[in-house]
Amino acid sequence: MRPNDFMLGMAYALLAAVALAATPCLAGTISAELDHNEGGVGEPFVLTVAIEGAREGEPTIPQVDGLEFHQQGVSESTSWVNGQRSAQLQIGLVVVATKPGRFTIPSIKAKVDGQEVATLPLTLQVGADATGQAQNQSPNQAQNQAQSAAPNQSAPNAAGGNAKKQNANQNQAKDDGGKTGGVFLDRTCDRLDPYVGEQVLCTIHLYHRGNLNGGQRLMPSSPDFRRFPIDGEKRAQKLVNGQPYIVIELKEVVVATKPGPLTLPPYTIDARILTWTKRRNPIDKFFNNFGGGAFNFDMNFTEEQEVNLKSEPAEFAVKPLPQSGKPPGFSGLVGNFQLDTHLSQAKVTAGNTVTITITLSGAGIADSLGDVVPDLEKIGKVYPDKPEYTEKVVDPSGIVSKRVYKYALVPANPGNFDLGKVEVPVFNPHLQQYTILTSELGHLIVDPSKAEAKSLVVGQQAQLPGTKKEDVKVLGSDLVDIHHGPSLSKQHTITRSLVFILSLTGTFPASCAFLIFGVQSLRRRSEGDTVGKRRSRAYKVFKSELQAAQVQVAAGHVETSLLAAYAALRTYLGDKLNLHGQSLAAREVEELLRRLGGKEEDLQRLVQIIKTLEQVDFGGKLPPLTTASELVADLDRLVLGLEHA
Amino acid sequence: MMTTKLTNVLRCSLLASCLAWLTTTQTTAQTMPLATNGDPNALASSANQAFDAGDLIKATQDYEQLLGQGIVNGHLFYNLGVAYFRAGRLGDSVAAFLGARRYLPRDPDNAANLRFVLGKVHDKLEAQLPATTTGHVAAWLEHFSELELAWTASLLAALWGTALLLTALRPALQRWRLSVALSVVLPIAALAAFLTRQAMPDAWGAVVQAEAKIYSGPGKQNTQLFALQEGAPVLITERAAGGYYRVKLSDGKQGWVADNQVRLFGPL
Repeated sequence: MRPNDFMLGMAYALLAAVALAATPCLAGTISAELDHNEGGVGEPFVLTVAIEGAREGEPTIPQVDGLEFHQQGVSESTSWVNGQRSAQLQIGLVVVATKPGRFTIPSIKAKVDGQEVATLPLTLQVGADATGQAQNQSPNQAQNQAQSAAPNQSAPNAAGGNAKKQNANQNQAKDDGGKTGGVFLDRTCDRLDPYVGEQVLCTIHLYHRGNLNGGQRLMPSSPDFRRFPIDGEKRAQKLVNGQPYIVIELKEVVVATKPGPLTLPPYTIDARILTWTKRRNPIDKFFNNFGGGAFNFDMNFTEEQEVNLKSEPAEFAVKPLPQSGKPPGFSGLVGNFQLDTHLSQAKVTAGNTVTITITLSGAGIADSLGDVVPDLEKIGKVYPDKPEYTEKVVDPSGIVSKRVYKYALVPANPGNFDLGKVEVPVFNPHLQQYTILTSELGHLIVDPSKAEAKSLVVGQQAQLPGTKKEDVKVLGSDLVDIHHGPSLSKQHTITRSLVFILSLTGTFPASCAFLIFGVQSLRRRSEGDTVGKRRSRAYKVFKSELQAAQVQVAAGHVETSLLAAYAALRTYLGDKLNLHGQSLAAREVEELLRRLGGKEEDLQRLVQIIKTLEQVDFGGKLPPLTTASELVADLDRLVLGLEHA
Repeated sequence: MMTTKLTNVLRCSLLASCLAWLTTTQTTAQTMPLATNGDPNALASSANQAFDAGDLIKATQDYEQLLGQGIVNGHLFYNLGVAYFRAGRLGDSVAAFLGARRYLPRDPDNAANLRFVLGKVHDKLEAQLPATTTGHVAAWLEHFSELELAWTASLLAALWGTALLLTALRPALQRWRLSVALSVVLPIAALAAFLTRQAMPDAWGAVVQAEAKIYSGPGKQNTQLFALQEGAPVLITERAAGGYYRVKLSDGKQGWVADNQVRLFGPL
């Protein structure tokens, strides 16, 4: 338990004790009053009996010959004023006289705060019929008084089924047996015989005595009426039969969609009202909960309750729009409207755009109005924009709507054009006749376009004196003729066969090129292999041929031996360098030997040997056998050196 | 000796292949129209004559018979567009001219007629998407048909291949081989252009009924978004099962419409 809660609980307990102690000191009172004391037979008089204080038992209602007493409701409340508890009881009674005469309602007695208290006697003057008296009062007044006399119940039926007497323009909440906590509403419509499409303003009054804690308007839909709530509300205080009431004034606009007898559904509000509750008496609650650990003191003595408030449905006799005088092209527009037109510019170049704005505005609903485009095709192309529509529901005009049409006109030819006028037929319910709203679009001056102007200047320069040239007037436009020449049967799509052809076309030459490149590459590789093979076996061939030369030397055949050795050397060089070795001259052999590299002294020796062999080959000058033998041996050694180099 | 022989054999093979290819191409090209039933050329001639004689019903029937043979031809669509308009079928006419535009993108007659019939359409719509959507390159490519771009790519590739072939066969031209090899970017660019053009949405059709309801999904159970009047041009982007086209308008609106309310010339 929190200390603050404990202290608060103790404070409430102290207050309650003081209040309880003070209660017996208060003196109880009783009062009775009639809403009026003159009337006719059958007319309801509302008698209100109010008791303040702690009563013992119920008050006794007296019996009077010629008067009937009908109890309609009881209201009981408890309040705390300056820490003192005060209990109030209000009993609503409807008194109906069954015969004319002067009647006295005797004192009504009750025991309050331990004392016997009584009201003063009341006097009633009842005439022969109700009408004489009722004529002095407005029906509204009578009803309001009846309602206020029994605030816990709604009044009209408290008047004993006299609801039928009410003004046809007004309908009020039905008695709901006191369930609405004295909160009720009524609705009044300006007129009940409007034309189809005419807007009717209805005013709703919501009465309460400060116990309305909020609510929500409900707008039951109806196929017969379009309903438009008006935002905002007015508040006022009103004394109804001496009782102060807070009156909230709401408004709605209704528009009948078809003619005939139609019923406007009730105006409905889901209201939240505050009612007294004993169960939440803070003292009881305190003592009930004390020690239970809750200490949940609650000073809210009231309980919120949701109630559904309804007015009576309203009966309308909706008149159809008159057939006589209905202009052609009438689209069903009803209201009081104005028509306005505007050109964005009065002068324009051919081919450029001028915007025509047509505005229809006024009281009424214009959402269903169709196109109002003027006939401008003869001047140029017309491009309509989507019409804009706005609608406001304002007090007291009702629905004020505005419909704006915009057309982009692109004049084709230069000239001065009368754009004509726009006409919109409308039915004015106030005048009860059809009118045609008319607005002139005015004139449009179309200058030649730059290209045309240029050609005109050229034409003017070229024209001969005395001749007058004019533009070629366009008299009409049409399609270009059909195509006769081209084939209509040739496929323009990419078929599979065409894909094949295109692929083949595109890739065939390149494929051939790549094929040739491949073949050439293979061939080069094959040739390269042959040269390499020849080069690798050059020394082997040389050795075998040189062996033959050595055999000849050993046998003493110097010439044969040296010629064979020379041939072996040339074959070796040919194989090594991929040449025709046997056709090499001595100088070429020397050059090739230098290309193969090797030691300089070896090369010198080789050159010397080659010169000797050349002399043998062409000069027939043979060296001695020993020299030949050394020469062959040196050749073998030198070529081996070349091979290693 | 051997090298000369090999070169000669290669040259002979190349010549033989070229001849075989030409023969195949010509044969395929000639047999394509004959794959349809009847004589399309005679039918086309008959349709044109009927149109010239003012017999719009017969002309339209003959043109449509050609359509029924599976022929997709820009001039056929164009002639049909003219015939439809003369017969008072605005929606069909717009659809036919839009179809012809796919295959004759630079045809001035078709462009003029399309402008003319679109001027008669109630809805304020264009027959092309805004340039910001398609991009400048794509807008430029719209001046060419897919067929033209395909032939361009194919011929450029053939030229490039031929040049490469010459550098292979003529040793004197070998020094140009690198330049020729680098010029492969031309046929590749043409191929890219063709593929881009093929991927671009260009299946424009038109509403052929007095009013077509556009829904948020393929089916009447979906929310109706808006309605289009006869002749309104729509870009068809998709076809759903149940007979509904997904359409896009030039102002960016999208939705689904029953396929019997919109007509498209040519494949989707």
